[in-house]
Amino acid sequence: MDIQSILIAAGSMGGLGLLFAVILAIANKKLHVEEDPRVTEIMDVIPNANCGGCGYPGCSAFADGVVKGEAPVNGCPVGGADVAELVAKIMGVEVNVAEKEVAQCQCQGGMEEIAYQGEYQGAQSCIAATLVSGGKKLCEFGCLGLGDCAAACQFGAIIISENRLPVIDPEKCVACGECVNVCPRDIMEMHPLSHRTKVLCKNHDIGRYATKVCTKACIACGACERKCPFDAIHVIDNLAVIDYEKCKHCGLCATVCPTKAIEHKKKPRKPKPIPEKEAEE
Amino acid sequence: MKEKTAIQELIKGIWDENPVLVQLLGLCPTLAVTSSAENGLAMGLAATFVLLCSSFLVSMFRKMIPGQVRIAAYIVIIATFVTIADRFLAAFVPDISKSLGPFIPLIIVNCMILGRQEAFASKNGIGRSLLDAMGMGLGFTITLLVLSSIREILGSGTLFGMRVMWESFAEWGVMTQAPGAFITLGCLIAGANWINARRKA
Amino acid sequence: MNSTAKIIIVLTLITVISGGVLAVLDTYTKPRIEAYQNQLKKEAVSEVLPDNVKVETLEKNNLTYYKATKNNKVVAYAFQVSGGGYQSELVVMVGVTADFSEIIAAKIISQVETPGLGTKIEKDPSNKEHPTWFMDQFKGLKINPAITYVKNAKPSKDTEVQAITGATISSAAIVDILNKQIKAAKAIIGE
Repeated sequence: MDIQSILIAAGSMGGLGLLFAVILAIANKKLHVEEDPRVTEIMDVIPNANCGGCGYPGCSAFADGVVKGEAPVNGCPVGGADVAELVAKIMGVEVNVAEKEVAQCQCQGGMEEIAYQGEYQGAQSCIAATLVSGGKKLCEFGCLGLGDCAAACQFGAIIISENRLPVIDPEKCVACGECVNVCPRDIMEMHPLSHRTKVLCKNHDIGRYATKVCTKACIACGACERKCPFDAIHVIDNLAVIDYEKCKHCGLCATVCPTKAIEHKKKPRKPKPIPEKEAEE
Repeated sequence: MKEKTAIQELIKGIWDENPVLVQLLGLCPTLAVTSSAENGLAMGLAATFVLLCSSFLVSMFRKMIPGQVRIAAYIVIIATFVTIADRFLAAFVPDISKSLGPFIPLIIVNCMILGRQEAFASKNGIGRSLLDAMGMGLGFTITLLVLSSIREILGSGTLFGMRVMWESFAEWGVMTQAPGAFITLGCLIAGANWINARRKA
Repeated sequence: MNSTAKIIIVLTLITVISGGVLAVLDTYTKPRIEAYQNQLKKEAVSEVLPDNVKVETLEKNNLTYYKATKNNKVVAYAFQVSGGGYQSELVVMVGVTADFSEIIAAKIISQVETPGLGTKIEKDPSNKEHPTWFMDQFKGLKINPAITYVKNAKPSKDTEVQAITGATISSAAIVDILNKQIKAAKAIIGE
């Protein structure tokens, strides 16, 4: 073995390495960017799904935001309370644990409730259907039932029932908001679990027309408004809207609603997903 | 994140996180050398060898390499193994070395390999890194083998140099060229996505 | 250990080890690689020279050439010529008669032309009986006044070869390389 050639090779490579190492070391000194070690620590505890549910472009941006104080420690919807606690510990603050939010389909107009305007045989996607004619269902505010929300859900929390309405599994839902973003009719909304009373209709038609469109449509009769002891529900633009600042979730509005467009869940916290059951009534 | 079992760690590179079909990494050799099955296989194995060795070293020294120079360090490690692979091919299977041409040295900048060091080996233990490298390497090799087999069968009517198509089969010249590589790769990716979509549904 | 020192030490160490490992490896593989290349060259030389001759390796003005003698009489020379093809460098070993009037044979040593088109200069799979027909045309070809090529026709003169359809540029490159460099070699060897 030729010792000399080995020395030359090792020496020249080592020389280059030394040269670059010195350059890098100088660069490291001169161009040093003070990075908060907490960013990396947070990155280690958040789920790193890069779903964007927090409103930041990705998990590292979120971690950055938390350290800068721009993002709340419980801002990661996917991680939930556990992660919020860990992040809070890293940041050295107390968490006021945010209430779990769950996606909610604000429409009960399944195949059995709704009137049809004709057959729709186009691409099986809500967005495609809105572009053409609005699909099979006559209601121009309601759920199209073609499942863009289910397809958008990375966590398998949404399935489309036989009645062509999305069914949300609150256990699996992480409130990332993808379904809310993707729904062309803005039917999907995020609601904290404590919102037990909801108007499950988005129809702004006047009552006369709304009854023809769907058996569960809000017909803007105003019964709920008159019944509410807390002035928390109002008919605005032909649609009942709940003011959650005032709502005490007593459920009186739901009892008087002639079309059952208002849903009220009983206190036992385990919330049942609305869909099929409701639809079968 | 959930811990993967050893088998999952190995399998993910072959399908779920296949470097070529899913991550679209290391496309330069994928497109350039897959005109015959033999070349595809050789490139896949060479890249797997480099990936395994570098993952091993990088995960072994991951705590010693300062973060500021990790890329430089990884590249030197990778380049060393690539040179070893290159010299060995030239010395023992000169024909393959000749037909792979400049693409063996180019493994150094194959983003699949540097990507695995940066994303996996630098954060995980030796065992896991080796499994990950093995899986990724296998996924890369299998994909290259499939891609190059299709191209060789359609483009030259042969597989590993042996005639497999009937006598009067007219070779699709384009398959041996760059456009053939793009078309075949596109079809493979589409197929993989289709299968995944069906599996999910 | 502060970070600056650590950076320098670690990176230098890695490069030194890398250089050392590669140098050791080189001492093992280099002889094999060189042997293989010499063997290729030797084979090519013997292929382009007549049989039963004594071959001598000579060098003059940076040109390595092989002199073939039979009964102490020079019968042929062989040397390597090279030039640009369609997309790669073509390296050809060529054997010529001692008076530089006729090519004995020419053989391609290396080429990376377009697969399926330009590669036909070395081996044409569409011609099953005679895949090496293109280079074989040079056997016994007259060099003077110049080698020419024709397209889509059988050669009619003894200095003419037929170009490959779809690989005209590669074919022409070979003809051009031979024309120029045989004359250049003649000038050097013939001195």
